[in-house]
Amino acid sequence: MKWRVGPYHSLCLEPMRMEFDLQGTEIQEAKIEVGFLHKALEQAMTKQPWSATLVYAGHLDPESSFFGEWVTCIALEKLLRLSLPPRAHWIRAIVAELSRLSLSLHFFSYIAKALPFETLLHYTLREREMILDLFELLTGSRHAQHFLRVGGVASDTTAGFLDRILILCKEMTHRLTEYRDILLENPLIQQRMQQQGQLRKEWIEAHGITGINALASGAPALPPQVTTDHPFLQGRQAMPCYPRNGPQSGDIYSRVCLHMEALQGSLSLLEQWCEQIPPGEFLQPHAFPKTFPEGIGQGCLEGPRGLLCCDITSAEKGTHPEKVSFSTPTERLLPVLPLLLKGQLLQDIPLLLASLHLSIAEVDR
Amino acid sequence: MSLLSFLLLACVSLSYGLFVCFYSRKVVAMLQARVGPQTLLKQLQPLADVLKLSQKKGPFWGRPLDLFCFCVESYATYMTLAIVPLGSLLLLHETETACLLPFLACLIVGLSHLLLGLHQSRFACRIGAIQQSAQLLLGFFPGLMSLLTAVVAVGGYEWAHFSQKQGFFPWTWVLFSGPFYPIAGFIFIASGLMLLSLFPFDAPWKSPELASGILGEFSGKRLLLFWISHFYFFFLWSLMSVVLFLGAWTLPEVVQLFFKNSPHLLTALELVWILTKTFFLMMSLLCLAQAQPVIQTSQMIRFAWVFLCPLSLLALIGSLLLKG
Repeated sequence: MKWRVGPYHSLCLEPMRMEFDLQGTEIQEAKIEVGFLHKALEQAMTKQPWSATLVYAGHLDPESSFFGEWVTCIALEKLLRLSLPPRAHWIRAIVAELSRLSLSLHFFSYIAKALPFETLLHYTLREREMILDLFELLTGSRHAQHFLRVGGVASDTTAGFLDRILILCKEMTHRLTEYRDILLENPLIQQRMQQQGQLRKEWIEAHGITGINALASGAPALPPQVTTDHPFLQGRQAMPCYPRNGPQSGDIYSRVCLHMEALQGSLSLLEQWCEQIPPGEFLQPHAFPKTFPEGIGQGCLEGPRGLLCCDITSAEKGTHPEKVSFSTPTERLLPVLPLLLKGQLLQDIPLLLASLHLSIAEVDR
Repeated sequence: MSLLSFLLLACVSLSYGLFVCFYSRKVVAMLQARVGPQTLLKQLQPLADVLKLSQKKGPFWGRPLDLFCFCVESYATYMTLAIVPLGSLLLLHETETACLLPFLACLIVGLSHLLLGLHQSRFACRIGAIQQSAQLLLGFFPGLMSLLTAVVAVGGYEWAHFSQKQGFFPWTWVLFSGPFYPIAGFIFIASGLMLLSLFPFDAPWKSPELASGILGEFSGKRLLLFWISHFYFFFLWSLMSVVLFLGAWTLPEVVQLFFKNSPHLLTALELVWILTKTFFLMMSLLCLAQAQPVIQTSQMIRFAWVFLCPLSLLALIGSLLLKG
């Protein structure tokens, strides 16, 4: 029998329609339909002046708006051939890592909701509130901070910001032990996660899946040619705390374990960077030009879900972008979803979808 | 029982219900690092929720089948009020099969939910109803076996037998009077939670793919009555566990002798004692449940068939052999 679910259902974390061909409660075939959050973002960016580009970019993925802005900033800075002051780089990296932390905790709250495990849900959201407080301290806003500017950041770190990050890191390290005990060490949860929802390596290679989903199946998190072209990405992957220690069977348990490692890694990185941040300017002093030179600016970074890229084309003395194109990690994962769902039981679907850490907003844009 | 006693008992029950409901939500909130219900008169928060739900507009029942199921469920649930064991003089009706009546009530309510669920248009509702019925049957057999084990321990089915054969102190309770009785006690409580779809066995209403299952069809007054009966069954099963395994309402002999000439005062003390023990059992179960995720139906089936059923049989046969 056929069962249609969505676009709003507790089974789906985001608006998407799924049609299952069921034999009892086992899925024989699945069809996915997305597009309910389409905002014509890329088209809208080409109709607005350059100054509006970053504002729109923040809406690419509402859960991690910082990365949408950052990848667009990188593309625009390449077009203008702008170099950043060192402190701006460090502030961006620190805020990015905080965003990554916040999204990791949100991932665990999705896992808790899928299980369902209310206690863990409240614990993760409690920790996430601390990070949102830090965003509010720095930028005045808890979500959609709009903190980046072309050439740097909107403002310097506020008094006490870096000290509070160090306090957060100490508190979170202690909490991670709790999360491991109640989530990863629980035999009931292990039974539900192990050998379920296995993402095969051939699917990853065929569709170019990146990020923790790829790492959990034993594939590299980013394509090799990308890391060599981008020293920043190479530098982050070379850090000893980069998540690489964990099961690599490609099942739900591997993905959740690696997210836990990524959380730990982000905390270690933050502690190091807060102590090493150099003094100096936070923004390249320049007037934001009304027209951009001709060319293509390409931005690439390792987002919390995988490789995130942005290409912006500008005409000679263009007052607005000629063409904007984003390449997001979830849109590479979506074609694999029907293959993953085939053969699964209905009761395992929420956990499987939560473990993939999808963002339908960045697919629909 | 006189009308005055009945009214007094009703007031005590209502106050106890509000108290337990409020503190259970507070305990759960504390474990989840939340504040919990906060109002001016905090203990009246459950009453505020009752008033809120009862004011919602909408049909009480949509079809004749809904009305039939509602009547059957209500009758089955509240007929057990006749045999609720609250004290030596607070039994409306004492029979040989009093302890089996809640099992019958749970079966009737479960089958009524199955009937209601299968006639809904939503696929998730039908699946939820089937899962709930499967759980009911899974918990029924081990629950019954462990009840029979307790009957073997005291030598009778009547509530008074359980009270007379147990003492005030824990080492005189059925739970600690033999090697098989702790197993039977644990199985009785676990199978009750499964049978009634209580936490952490409430997958039929909590699983995301079922979107509240059969509860999705209830709203307003109907939902309110469902939750009241759900809470009542949780209380009843905990009360039965206390009577069967945890000493019932028995007070120390010194107290019984002191109040020998004041049977009403003695009854009141027995009521306070048994309600206190039931309260602590309910809070303990809530605390244990919060440390676990909701258990999937497939895991429950495995748990029931591999552990509960064989162990319950082992406990019954072992206690019979020991008793000779």
